[in-house]
Amino acid sequence: MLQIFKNTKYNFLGYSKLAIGLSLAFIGASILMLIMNGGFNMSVDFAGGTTMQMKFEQPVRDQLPAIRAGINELGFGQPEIKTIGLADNNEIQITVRNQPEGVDMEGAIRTVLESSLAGNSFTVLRTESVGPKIGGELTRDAVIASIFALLAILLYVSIRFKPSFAVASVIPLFHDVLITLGIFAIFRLELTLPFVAAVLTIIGYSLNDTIVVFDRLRENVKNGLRGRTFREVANGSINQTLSRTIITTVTSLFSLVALYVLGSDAIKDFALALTIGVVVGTYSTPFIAVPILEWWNKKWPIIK
Amino acid sequence: MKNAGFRFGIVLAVLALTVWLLVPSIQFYSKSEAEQENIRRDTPHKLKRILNLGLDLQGGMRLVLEIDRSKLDSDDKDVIDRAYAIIENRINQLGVAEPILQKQGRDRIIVELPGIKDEKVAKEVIGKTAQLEFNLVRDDATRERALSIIETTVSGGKVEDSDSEGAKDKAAEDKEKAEAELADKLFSGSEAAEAEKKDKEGGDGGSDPFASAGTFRTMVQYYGDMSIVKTEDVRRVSEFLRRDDVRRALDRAGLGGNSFLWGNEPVTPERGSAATYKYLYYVKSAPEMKGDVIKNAMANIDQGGMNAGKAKVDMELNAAGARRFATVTAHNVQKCLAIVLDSTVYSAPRIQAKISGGRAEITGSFTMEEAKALSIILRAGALPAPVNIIEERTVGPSLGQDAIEKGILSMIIGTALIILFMIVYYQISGLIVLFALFLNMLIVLATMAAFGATLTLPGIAGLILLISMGTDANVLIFERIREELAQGRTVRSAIEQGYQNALSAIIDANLTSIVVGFILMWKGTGPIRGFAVILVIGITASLFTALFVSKLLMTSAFHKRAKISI
Repeated sequence: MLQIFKNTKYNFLGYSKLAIGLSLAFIGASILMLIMNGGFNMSVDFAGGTTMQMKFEQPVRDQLPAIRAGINELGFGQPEIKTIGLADNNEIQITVRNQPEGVDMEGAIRTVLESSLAGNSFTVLRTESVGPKIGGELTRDAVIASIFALLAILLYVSIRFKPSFAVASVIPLFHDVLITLGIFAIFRLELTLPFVAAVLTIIGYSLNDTIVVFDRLRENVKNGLRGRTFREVANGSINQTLSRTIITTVTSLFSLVALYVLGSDAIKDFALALTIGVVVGTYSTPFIAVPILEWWNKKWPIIK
Repeated sequence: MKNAGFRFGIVLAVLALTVWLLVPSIQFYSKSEAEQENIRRDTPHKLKRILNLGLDLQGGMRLVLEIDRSKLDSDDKDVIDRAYAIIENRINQLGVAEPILQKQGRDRIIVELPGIKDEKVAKEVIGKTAQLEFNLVRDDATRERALSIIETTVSGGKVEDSDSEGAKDKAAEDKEKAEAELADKLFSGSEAAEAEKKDKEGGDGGSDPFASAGTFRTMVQYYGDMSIVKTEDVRRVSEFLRRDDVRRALDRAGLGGNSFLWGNEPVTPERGSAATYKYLYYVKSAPEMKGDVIKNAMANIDQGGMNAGKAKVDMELNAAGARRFATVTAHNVQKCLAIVLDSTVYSAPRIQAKISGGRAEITGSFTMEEAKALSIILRAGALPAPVNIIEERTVGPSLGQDAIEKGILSMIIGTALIILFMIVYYQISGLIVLFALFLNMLIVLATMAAFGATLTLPGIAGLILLISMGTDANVLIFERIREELAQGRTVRSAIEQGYQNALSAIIDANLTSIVVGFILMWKGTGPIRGFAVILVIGITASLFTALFVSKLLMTSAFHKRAKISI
């Protein structure tokens, strides 16, 4: 029988201050980076605007200034233009963010390219054009859905466990999402619509992980603490479920890392968000969720 | 175990059902692309029972249209229904396989066109905002007069009275001159002629007020009796036509009720040259009829007469339209009637005779494609309200194909790693987990196929979470069984206890996720809902496979044994 962890006795809660400190420092650093970078790199999904990815027949690098000037002349601000992949790929992505409602930006950009780049034909690989109203609605819908989802979690865990467990299972979710957002902020990765799905997945994963440990804790204190300290029981519960935690995380990472390494461009950032989320979601159970419970127990004893 | 046979029966029945539900999807996707296209086009009902791939995976176009109520006269209640009907009609004309059209709220229509090849045309047809109208084309002399007045105005000269002979003479003169120039260019290659022409004009400037500015008049050229403008000059000419002083001058000359309109298709009069031109029409601004009088229009091949074998468009009008059309045609024989959509002239057929009875035929040098396009424009009729495209997403087929191929490859590798790990770590029991996960996936995909649901990128996120949670449920149980074994229990009792003790964790973890799933289905939109649907179906399936299927297999495999391969 192959076994990774057998009868481990790690003192997870002994590191909780260090861990919480690290997490707070990381979140602080990401906020700082966020301010320095001038906010998130929001895709047009949320911010409104048009992104077009196109492939040219011939090298386009020398023509980029002309493209930039031509689009700028449309009067919707400076476009963001970046090349995609290798230089001889001749693929570029153009983003215009300042887009009033009802303007056919896609058509306008096409026309600019057709007239200013005569002789270098192109095919449009991808277009995303979102009016400002829809962008705002998407953000609002995602936020409303998340708030309701969190309330539902609080209610369910309060009933099945205790309100203290509910609070201790929800706070780490914020932690996990913040850290994931932080990494996206630091590396200026783009927040797109699939990112919302990734965040929901991270929440689902982290919650599952926390509930499993809480369940073990609940079972271990069914008949009271019986002379043990809360910390001993809590550490014991984490250790007892440790091999399960590691196996589940490792198998999840198998698919995610494969998706990140081999997936298409559209899926890469998405897989990255999930990978970060799974790691952080696993980390947050022993180092955030259980310490919150311990702290709560000190103030208002949960278990006698 | 009690009723083991019955339980196996249930598992086999579920397995058989899922496979049966997935057969149509497997059959469809194992066909070649061309065959798939045929099925999509000819028998779309067959697609109702297959697992569809979202636009982000297979490529295609998604548009969200919003009715612009600010441009409506009154608060029209069924405006969205009419807009929907007409957009639906237009999409069907496009011949796209499996289009999805959906009303959202009272102002929005969502259009999804999977696998579309030419998104520009699609957008053009769908997003047309203005109404279809029939406008009388003014005769060539009137157009000439208007052009001369404009030329005089923009070059700063005095505009003659409306019945001045001089203007007409000038116009005729100009026409000849321009015709000669075009002829020059047609025969002697454009570049040289262009330069030569400029020289000439520069030379005899000064004295001639028309040539001194030269700009407007030289941009508007002749092609037979028609006016044409080089595509690159279209914008500049439009600017001239829009000028206030030009408009005032035309008003003073009694030409106020007319408008210049551009033709739709570019023309290439110069053989061997890439230069394209657009027709410039001069029409009466007030339309003779609007598009809503059209009952039907169809492209056909002319069966007899002089044009036998050529493409034509047959048009059928409603009763009111037929009466109006008879009057209009009776009064305007030999004049042209422009078919105008969105201020663009799609065609301007000449009225040969009075047409009564509500059936008309448009003939000309059409290709069949052009005839079809024109009949689409006619049939689509008048869009009852202007719509704005407020969201547009297009994924080209190559990008979608790339996403699918890479997605499948990464899934195969990820799954292979999980299989390897499970077998190494849990041995025979690992195989049981794999079967449970496999059945879990089959149930999710089969349920989706049964409802003709669509798999998108967020859906894949849901599937990944599902594999994680399904694995987790089984790992929880197995680790528990190992613990029980370590405490010295028999195999039989360890399995029993393992399942029992892991139960609360599995139930609570999964039920929280299902609750979240329902909330997201209820409150979420778009990608969030797609994710939630998969989550809810999948976790229900996961509970079944972990607590029922894998337990059945574990007990049957190891119940009577002294040792367990876990």
